[in-house]
Amino acid sequence: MNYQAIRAAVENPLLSAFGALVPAVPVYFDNITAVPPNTTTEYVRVNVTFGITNEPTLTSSVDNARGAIVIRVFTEKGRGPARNQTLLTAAVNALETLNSTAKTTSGVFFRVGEINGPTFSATEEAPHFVGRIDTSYVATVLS
Amino acid sequence: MARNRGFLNELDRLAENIDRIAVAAFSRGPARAAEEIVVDLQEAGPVWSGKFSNSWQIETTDGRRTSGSGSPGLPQRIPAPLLSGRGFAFDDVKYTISNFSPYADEARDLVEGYFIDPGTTPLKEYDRGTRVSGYRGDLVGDDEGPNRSTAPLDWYTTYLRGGAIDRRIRIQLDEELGRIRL
Repeated sequence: MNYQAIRAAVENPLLSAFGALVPAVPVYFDNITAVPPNTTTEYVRVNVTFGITNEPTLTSSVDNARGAIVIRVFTEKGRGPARNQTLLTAAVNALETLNSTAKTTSGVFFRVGEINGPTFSATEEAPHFVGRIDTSYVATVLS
Repeated sequence: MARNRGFLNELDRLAENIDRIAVAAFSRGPARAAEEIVVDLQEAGPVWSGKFSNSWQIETTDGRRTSGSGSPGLPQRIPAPLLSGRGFAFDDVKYTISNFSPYADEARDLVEGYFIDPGTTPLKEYDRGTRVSGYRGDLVGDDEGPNRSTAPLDWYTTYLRGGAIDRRIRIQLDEELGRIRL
């Protein structure tokens, strides 16, 4: 099982999508310590988690993993949802691109499920307005 | 003729048995699955005082409900209510699992919250770090920092979306169907 390849399969398109925006929006993945606590600037947090690995399949030559992707978009509070929704749209588009990628003979075949959300929240204490989506995924390592 | 009647009676009894056992299996299977899902959630989720993990409840479509105590302490199992005959009349959801804790959404990392360390030792092992956002499990740092968390970020979404809940339902239904003896 190549967890790193699976993680890269979802993280790279998201990184590219937010990097292509003007201005580019920083994306923070798991175990990245670069987000300054209580920062007020906008950013995206992506959490890729693993659920079940290698369910019984018809052949033992493939590695399957299932899990969840949670994307949180942090934008300035008190300015309405528009900017947040723009960034969420970029995230959803990147996830949908994964579903239209053709299956090859090597690499990682990645499919996401239905996307739950977005849900929005803001608290008095936190400096951001947060939009959140989550989805399931099934990844198969083909090589 | 008498032999034929005896054979038909046997068939009738067999059909009745199949009905009775199938209904029992299809009632018990989902109930056991619901109970085990709550145990999974209690194990995967945060346990500080135990109030949250003792606040799960299981409800059937026909309104029967069993709930945790909502009290502090180690997580306790909740027996699921069995579906009544009336419950099978609904063709939709049979069991609903929810948490009635007032901070259930914060505990499940669905919304941000405001967290104050009570200074007590949690009932479950914890990670230490610095909370980056307002999300309960959003800690960074190598076991250093002022904040503590007893479950990883997005533990709930991972359980729901990562296939574990599907596997639990399948196991319990298979187990109940495997008990059928005609």
